Amino acid sequence: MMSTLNNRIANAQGTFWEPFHWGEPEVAYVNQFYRAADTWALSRVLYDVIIPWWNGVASGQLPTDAPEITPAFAEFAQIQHRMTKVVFSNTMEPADGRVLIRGDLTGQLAQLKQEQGANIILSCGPATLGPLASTPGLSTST
Amino acid sequence: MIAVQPAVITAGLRMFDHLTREVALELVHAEVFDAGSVVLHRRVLPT
Repeated sequence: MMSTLNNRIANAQGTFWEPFHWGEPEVAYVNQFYRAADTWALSRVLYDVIIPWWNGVASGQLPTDAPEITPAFAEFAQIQHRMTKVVFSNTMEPADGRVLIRGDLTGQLAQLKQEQGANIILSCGPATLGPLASTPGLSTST
Repeated sequence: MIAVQPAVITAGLRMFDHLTREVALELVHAEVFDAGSVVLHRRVLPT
């Protein structure tokens, strides 16, 4: 099992700043990494921003702000839908396909990494990323 | 993966602001896209 750090540009308020084109070729490239993973560990903020939107795409119930869903976007929606989500949150409740981690993120992710399975993708902000990326052996690529 | 976008910004969150030790990386692959983004895939070197 390996883990991958995955970050996008965020503004000072912690929300995405995406003035740049991020289309079919970019998504198709990134899909290969998600295809090789079975778990997506992410902070609560990113979970709330990303997962419901993509689950809507995966289920065919397109969000009102959805652009054209190209093949790569449609594939990403299905890939992420199959992945187990591990969410860092003190208030969210577990649900189908969603596991909660509270407290010692480093220790619990290290334990998760020891379990059988495919790669783990990590998406989080700097405050969470720093301690995780600083832990020897926890992250194998970025 | 780190996606590098063609812009310089004046403010924002710094990705590795909270590191507590140096982390050595090795470039595995750099994918350049026509729209200007570069996605860097780097391996963490054991230290």
